[in-house]
Order: sequence, then C-alpha cells, then structure tokens
Amino acid sequence: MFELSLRYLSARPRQTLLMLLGVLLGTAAFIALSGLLIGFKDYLVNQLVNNSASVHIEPAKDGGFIRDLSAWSRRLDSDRAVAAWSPQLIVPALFTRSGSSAAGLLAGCDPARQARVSTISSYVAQGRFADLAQGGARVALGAVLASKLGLELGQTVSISTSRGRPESFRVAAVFKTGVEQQDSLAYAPLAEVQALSGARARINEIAVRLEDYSLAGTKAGAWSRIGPDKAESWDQKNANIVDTFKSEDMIRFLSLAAVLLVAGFGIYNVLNMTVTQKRMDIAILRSLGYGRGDVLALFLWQGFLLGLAGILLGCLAGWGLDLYLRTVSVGGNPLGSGTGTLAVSLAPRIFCEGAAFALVSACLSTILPAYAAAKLDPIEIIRAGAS
Amino acid sequence: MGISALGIGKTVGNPPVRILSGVNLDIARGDFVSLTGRSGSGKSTLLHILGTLDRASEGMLWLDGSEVGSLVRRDLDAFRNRKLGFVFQFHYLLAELSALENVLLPAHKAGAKARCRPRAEELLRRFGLGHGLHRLPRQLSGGEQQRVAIARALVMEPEYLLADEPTGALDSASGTAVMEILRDCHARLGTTIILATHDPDFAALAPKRVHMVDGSLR
Repeated sequence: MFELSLRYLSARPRQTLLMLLGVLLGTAAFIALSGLLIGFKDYLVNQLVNNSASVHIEPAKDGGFIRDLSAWSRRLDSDRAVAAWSPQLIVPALFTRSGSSAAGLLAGCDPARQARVSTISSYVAQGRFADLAQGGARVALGAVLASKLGLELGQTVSISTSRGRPESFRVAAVFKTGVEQQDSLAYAPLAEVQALSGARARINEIAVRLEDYSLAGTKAGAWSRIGPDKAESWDQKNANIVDTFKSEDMIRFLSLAAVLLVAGFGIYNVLNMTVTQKRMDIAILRSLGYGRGDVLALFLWQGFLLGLAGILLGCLAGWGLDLYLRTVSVGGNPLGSGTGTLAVSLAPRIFCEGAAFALVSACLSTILPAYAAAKLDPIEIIRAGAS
Repeated sequence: MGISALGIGKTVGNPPVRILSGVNLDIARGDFVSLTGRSGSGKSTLLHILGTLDRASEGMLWLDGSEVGSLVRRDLDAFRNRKLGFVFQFHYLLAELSALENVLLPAHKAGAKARCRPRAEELLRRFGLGHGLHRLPRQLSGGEQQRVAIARALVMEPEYLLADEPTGALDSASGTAVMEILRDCHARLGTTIILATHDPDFAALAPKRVHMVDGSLR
C-alpha cells in the first residue's frame, strides 16, 4: 500500500503540493514564531538572572545590613548548588558632574567576585570592568547614567550619599545591557562605597549565582527560612516580567493550534476529495481481495508521508527564517541582544514541538477520510458505477 | 467442491425491493456457465453474491465446501484474492499503475508479486499486449484495457472466474477476442467460469446455460 500511496501522491502533483505547503508553512511559522518568543524570553531571563544574580539575599528590613556575613560565607561556600556569590553594599547616591546631577544606585562590590556572579563585565562598552580593582576611587557606570551626565571614560564624577561628603571617582568602565534599570546602576569597589556611606565593613546584599537558575525559587525559600535575612529569587524579584512569559506561552500555544488547523485542514480536504475520486479504485481493490485495513493503510500512508515531508521541509524553512530573523537589526531598544539584532532561539525543543504537533495533526486529519474510505462498501460503488 | 447456492434471495433498500428470490445453483469445478437475462434480471447481483462481494439476504451459499455466512470478512477477502477472479463490464484499472502493475495487484496482496511476475507478463503477451506492459491504462484502447483486466483476474490462477458482461463495453471484434480468451482459459487451465451476458451468441459458447427472469432462474 505504501507504493500505491506514493503513486497516488505523485499522480496529482498540484494537490500534493497544496497539502505539503500547508504542513510546511504551518511548521515553519510555528518554528519562527516560537524562535522569536523563546529567544526574547531567554534574552530577558538572561538579563534578569545573569546581570544581577539567581538569588539575592537582603536584610529583612529596608535600610538594614546583613547580620552575619561569616555565617553566610560558610553556608554558601559549602553549598554545591552555588556557583559563585558576591557581597555588595548598595546605596542610593547622587552623581554630579559640572552642574548636572542624577540620582542612582551605587553598588559596592568586589569586581572579581561580581564578574563571576553576573555577566555584567561582558556588557562593558568602554573600558574594563576589572579595572575597578586597580585601586583608587574608580567607578563603572551604566550607559543611561553616563549619558545623563555626559560622562565618558576617564573623566571624573562626584558621588555623594546621604551619610557622607562627596568623593571624586574616575570612570573606569561604561556598560550597556539594554535594560534601563540595569543601565542606571553604578559599580564601585566595596571598600570605597563603605567609606563613602559611612558603613564600614557592612554589606546589605549578597548576590548568588546558582549552577542551575531554575532552582532559584527553592533555594531562596530554604535560605529565607534560616533568617533573619530574606532571600529572593530572580523570578520573585521580577514577578511582573515572569508573568508576561505566561502570556507568551499562550501565544505559542495559539500559534500551535493554528499550525494544527492549517496543516490539518489542507490534508483533510484533499484526502476527502481523493477518497471520493478513487471510489472505483477502492471497490476494485476490495474485489481483488484487499481488506478494509489495506484501504485504510492506503490513505493513512498518504497523510503520513505528506506530514513527514512537510515537517522536514518546514523545519528547514523555519530554521532559515530564524537565521534571517537573527540578522534583523532592532537598534538600541530592549529587544536587542548585545549585537543589536533580534534574539531568536534555535532550541531543538522548538523544532521537536513543531514536528511532533504537525505530525499528530497530519495523522489526525488523515484518519477521518481514511476511515471513511475503509468503510465504503465495494458493491455499492460497483452498483452505482454500473448504472 | 465448487459453488452451491440454496434458496438465495436478495432485497435492497427500504422499503425493500426484491432483486433475487429462491436461486438454487450448483456449479462444479471446471464448469463453464453462462448466465443470461435482460438487464435488471438480477445477473449482476447473483454474480456479486457468488463472488462474496455482496451478501444474500436469505439462503445459503457454499464456496469450496465452506458456508459463506460462517466466514469472517478477512476470510472472504482472502478467498477473493486467491480463488476468485472478477471481470466487470468496465475494466476498472487503476489509472496510476501500468498495465503490468495492474495485473500484479492481486499478487501484491497475496505477497507473491515476484513469483507471479513471469505469468503476468506471459498473460499480457498472450493477450497481444506485449508492447504495452508498462503503459498506463489511458494509453491503451478499450479492448486492450479489458484484456488487462482479464489478465488481472487470471494472474493468481483462480479456481473461479466471474465475468459480468465483460464484452458489454467493447466493439464486436474486441468482444470476440475477449470471449476467445475466456474459452481458452477454461479449456487450458480448467478454470471454472461463470459468465453473465445478455448477448445470446456469446452465451451459446458456454456448455451450461442458465437464464434469469425477474430474479429467478428459469
């Protein structure tokens, strides 16, 4: 029956092409759309998780300090799920330069540790993040903050906190992540910030990077229970953004339904027509001793082969579309990845999902016409054909 | 062995319309029986019932000693595949397959395609179609197509050949050629042939003749 179904398909190239295109376009569209949505989501997660950290440990009360750093140090160093951690002192500060000033957060950190916790150093546009550690009062500015003040690499900026006198810092690096919140931050060596804010040897945040960021919620929960400090995972901290992922998944689900419909309808319609056109063939095959199962197989093969071919071509087309989308420039807006082009995911999972659902759809829409063909009574066809 | 029908009747539709009633028929192996009667007299229906394509509404039918009512569809499919050859008034070839492939369809189902291929080619050559083995049905004339259909019916060397007006759609020369093939087949292979026809000349070729009127044998 496999051979005969191939013959049927090749005997009607136009209809076959139509069915093939349905599956192909559906699969390709799903892959491209998913690539965009998941690429965007991955990009955002990357920004949220890696630019800051998987888990933030903060004092229970705003404005307080981490009570017992050495206890945390022991705990985090011995935890195998922890990849790296970095103690920070984050204070609100006023940045001033020749008359213009801007408010922002100043994060005191150990630059080497901070670079291991977050990917901030890879977003440095000018200078080097590691240069913060070279001693002296140096600061790494976010691009938004830098442009507000018209600051460039090597210039100095005066920073003051509510607790101390202004100090001059030299701009050692400017970084640009694309997330405005991130780009309004400034980083300076921990000791400098502690001195500036009059909080010697104190920290108010520990940024933790986990080996697997999806464990962040569980880890944060466990650490919070130890007390008195509270631990927040990246997804708790950014709950509003994480919620939008759910609507993205909904969009993907709907587009998947569209794939099912588009691909399925094409096959269903054409095969239904084929069954009607081939009634005589069915009667002949049955009179020659072919069973209902053979007739069923004859049409199931057609749908299956079409589905398979459409999926393979659709995956290729989707892949090509994804590669093209990756080159589309989105300028400086937050959609842009580091290179300023669309972030498109080529995760194998997307292709597997698209292929699996398109195949299921192709097979489902084949079953009805195939079953109808198998149920036909050959004698009725012959009788109708003779009269 | 052979085909025995006892009190076969057939009604179709609702309200039921009677097509056959009280048909008793004994056909032994090697018989050549012609079934005559006007169109609408029930020849085709009887032939379809004898060939297990249709089921009788009443009565009993034995095929090679098995009562048809006791057989499941799968057995009937296998019986048609291996023991029966059908020839219809219209050739009913599959348009996508070449003449040879059409002939080999029953063998394909029986899983004997390779084994039957020489015989299929030989049949087609004997029927004057040696040049058209790989042609599609639409590239053959009506008479040629019908001869392909007969070759298809014969390729499994069936015990029984049921022919329903095989010459009905053919010109007289082609019709005569087809009748020659049937006679040759009966004579050389001993195939049991049941031929439904309304042509008295062709019917006269059969040693045994049955006439039907309004669904009953006369």
